[in-house]
Amino acid sequence: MILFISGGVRSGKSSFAEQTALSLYNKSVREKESSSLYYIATAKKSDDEMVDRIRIHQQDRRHTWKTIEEPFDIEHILSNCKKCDVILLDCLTIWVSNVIFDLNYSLEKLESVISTCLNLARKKHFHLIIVSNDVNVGIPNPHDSVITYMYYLQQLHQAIIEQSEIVVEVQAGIPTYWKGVKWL
Amino acid sequence: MQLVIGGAFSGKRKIVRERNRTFSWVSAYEGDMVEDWRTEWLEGTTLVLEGWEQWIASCLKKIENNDDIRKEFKALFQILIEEEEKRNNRVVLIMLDIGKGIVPIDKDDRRLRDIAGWIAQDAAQFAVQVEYVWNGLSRRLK
Repeated sequence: MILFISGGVRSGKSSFAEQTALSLYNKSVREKESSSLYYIATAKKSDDEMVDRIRIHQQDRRHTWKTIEEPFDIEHILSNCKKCDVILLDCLTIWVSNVIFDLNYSLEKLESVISTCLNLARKKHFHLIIVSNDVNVGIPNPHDSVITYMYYLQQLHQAIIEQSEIVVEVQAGIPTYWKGVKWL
Repeated sequence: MQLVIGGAFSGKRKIVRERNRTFSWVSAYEGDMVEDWRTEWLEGTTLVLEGWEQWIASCLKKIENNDDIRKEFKALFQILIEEEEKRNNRVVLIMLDIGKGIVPIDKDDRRLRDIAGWIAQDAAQFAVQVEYVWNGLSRRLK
């Protein structure tokens, strides 16, 4: 199953995504499937603020999770995942900025990586939960690089949503289901 | 009159294109002025107006009083609705949601954000149907 979760900063989207991932994982365990719960952290430990943000997120997750820090090659990680695994990718915005600003990814390259990831989830029957942020609702930004970044991110959101069974917008900790039924 | 509103690159045009057959597209992004609708609106087509934040921004430079600007756009919406009935065609306004995120540092940006928000509220009040677009999906608000 593919799930897409988005919202503003500190909207509660990460904790909602984590709860969702955990309940999918528990369901697999109940059904006696050998399953792992992965957290793919895309943020680089770039400065003290990031270290602190990462620490808060880590404390929230404790022991059940296997955390993988990967700022770039998410495709490689997903290719090693197995049936009934639950993978939470948090968050797409940071991964996109890593690969476009550090590795000069084009939109075509981004779309092809994401499409491969989604296909892997389908083919290998694992659950992929992608968390992102809506960065496109402020006053128009005058910088070309920011506009391009926003455009790329929106294109990816739409491609992911098309393939997702469940699509949720989180506001003030409350989920709104744009696609799929309320199942938690 | 219908209003389609959402963030930048959220898929607003796509949704409008899916729901109408023929168009007369008046776009600030293509250099059109808002008043061009009179000459651009071909018979038997849906009139689409987009780029309101740019039209509003150029209005801010000319008119000092915010209420006067709002009145001017309200009057335009009224004319569009009358014309829509006369022609028995549809008018669709595509507006950009710019009211979220950080408060802009620049005073003119704040003014634009405020007035664009009010004008969107006015448009929503006049519209028979309002859709919010989010990442290529849409939800009917009215």
